[in-house]
Amino acid sequence: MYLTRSLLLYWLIWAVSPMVAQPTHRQEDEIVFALEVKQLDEFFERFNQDSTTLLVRFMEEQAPGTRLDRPTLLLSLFNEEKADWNAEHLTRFMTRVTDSLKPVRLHFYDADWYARLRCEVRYHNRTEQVWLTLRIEQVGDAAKWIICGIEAPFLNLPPGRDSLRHLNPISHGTDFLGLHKALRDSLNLPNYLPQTYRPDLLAVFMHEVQTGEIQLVQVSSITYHFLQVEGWIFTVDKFIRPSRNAGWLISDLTPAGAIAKSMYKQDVLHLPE
Amino acid sequence: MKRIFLLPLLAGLLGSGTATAQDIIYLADGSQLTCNITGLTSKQVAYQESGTTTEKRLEAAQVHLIFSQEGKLALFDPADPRGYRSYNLQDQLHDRMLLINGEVLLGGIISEDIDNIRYYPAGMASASPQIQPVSGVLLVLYRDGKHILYGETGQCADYIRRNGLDGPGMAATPDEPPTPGSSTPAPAQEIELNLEEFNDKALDKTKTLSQYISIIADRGTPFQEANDAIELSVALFISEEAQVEVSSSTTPEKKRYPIRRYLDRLKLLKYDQVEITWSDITYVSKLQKGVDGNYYGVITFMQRFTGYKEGKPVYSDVTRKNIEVILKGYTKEVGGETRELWDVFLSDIGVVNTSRG
Repeated sequence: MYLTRSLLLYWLIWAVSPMVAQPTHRQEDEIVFALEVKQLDEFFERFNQDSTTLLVRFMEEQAPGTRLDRPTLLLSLFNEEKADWNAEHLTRFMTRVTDSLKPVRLHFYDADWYARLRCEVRYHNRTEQVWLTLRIEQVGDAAKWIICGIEAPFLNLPPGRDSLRHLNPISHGTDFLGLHKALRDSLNLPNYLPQTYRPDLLAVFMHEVQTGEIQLVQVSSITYHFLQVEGWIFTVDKFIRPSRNAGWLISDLTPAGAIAKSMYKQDVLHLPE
Repeated sequence: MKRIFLLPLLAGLLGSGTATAQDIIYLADGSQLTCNITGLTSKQVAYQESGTTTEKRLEAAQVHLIFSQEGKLALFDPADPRGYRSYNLQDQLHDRMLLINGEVLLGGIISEDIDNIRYYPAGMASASPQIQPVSGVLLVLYRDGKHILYGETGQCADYIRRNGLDGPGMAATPDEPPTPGSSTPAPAQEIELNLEEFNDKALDKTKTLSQYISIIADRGTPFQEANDAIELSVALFISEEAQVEVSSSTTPEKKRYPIRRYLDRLKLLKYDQVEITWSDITYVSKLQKGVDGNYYGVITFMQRFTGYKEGKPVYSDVTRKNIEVILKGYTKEVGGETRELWDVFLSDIGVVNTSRG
């Protein structure tokens, strides 16, 4: 078993033990700063065992000769306060990622990783929650984040209340005079759409933003979803706490094949089919 | 001490109207010409006097220093292959004082009076304003291209021929600086990136910002001086649209301010004294190229803010700051040759309060 709380604790103690026996506040602040995964870029660097990443350089300065191997760096990326890690999953994941013949590394331009933002917006004088999914889009040798998915419950049409209300099959006979009534029937609007219809909520959201009906108040939280590792999905959240295990850390790890990932994109990330 | 010409930076910033769109030639006979320079060779400078179209020429021996209205400094130097040296003062990261003893002081100049120059030394986040007596100063070169002469022009020219301007951030040839939002982005793959230099420049600007913030929040700072520090701070940013978002580890609420408003609020804190210290340890992300041709990175560092009243610390917090830094490329034609250059600007800032003591 790769990861247990005690093992992580051991690592965290070991990682800084060569430095100072009783660190001052300032030294402790610096240790915490060095250990914290401060930016997602740093998460990538540690995941990939980048020799230039801050923690590696910090350890080399503080304890010359110390070498942080890849499993150690990977372990430092897990949220140690999560109590229900599946040890078997962790072992398989670590084995897969550190496979000496086919190691897994993350790259900024990988196709299958996403940011999911929980946003607070104002809509018709109410505060609502929106979850936006963003991904990197490469343009030539440059890149930008784009919004590719949305979950906005308040923009969904509620189901019709009266399933019998409909635009009758002979409406064409009156040149669709009944359409006036249908479009005033606000409680039953879904009845006038195909049963399989799925609205393009992203287009609706953008229209409302464009007309000023929706205003962003703040991005409340961000979760990164990594689907590019074959056979796995893991998420990364930001843990702000006075701890040596803080910052952007792996918050969940799930085995997932191609079909499971496809469903995850629809059900969790709300990407268009 | 003769004070020949004064176009202080802050006068320009405050729109006092003293700036002039004219070139200035300081002559060996002690006089000065206000004119439009039309040409510079290894042996002569050609110019038109104000209001005329007649071109006149001065020989190298007649000229000590030349300042162009675009913020360039030139002087004849037989040792230079071109016969003259030139510098783009607007490429400086800091204001610069050339001292009689040969030293060069870098920093942000707040004020000058008949006896002293008050300035914040560069790269010292918690420094208080320093005073440099004008009696020791030859020449002040502001980073916006303006200047003040304290020494004799011949003495200044000799100094520069001997020492150059001695310091980072100065271009050896006249290069125009980028103007945020207006310069032509260079094809980014052609920008020669020196990551170490980028990191140094970016960290230097963030330290300079911290230094100004400590001045702004200090009750002992005169009102006008605090306003000046705000102007100097804002000038470090890519635009006034840059935002500061303040969040806390103890509350989900986040507050967001445009940079100028954020600084204005700091001015109201009014501690007797403010001390801002930051850890030597920082994290600088890798640069990513945006579709506008600029490169983007984020610097993370840890900062402790302590406010004092009546000599006692009454507020202290430790924050993590994430500062977006933009490396902006631009192209410049120099002598028929296209050069790719870049400069660094600060942009959005995320501040997370991690502890309070």
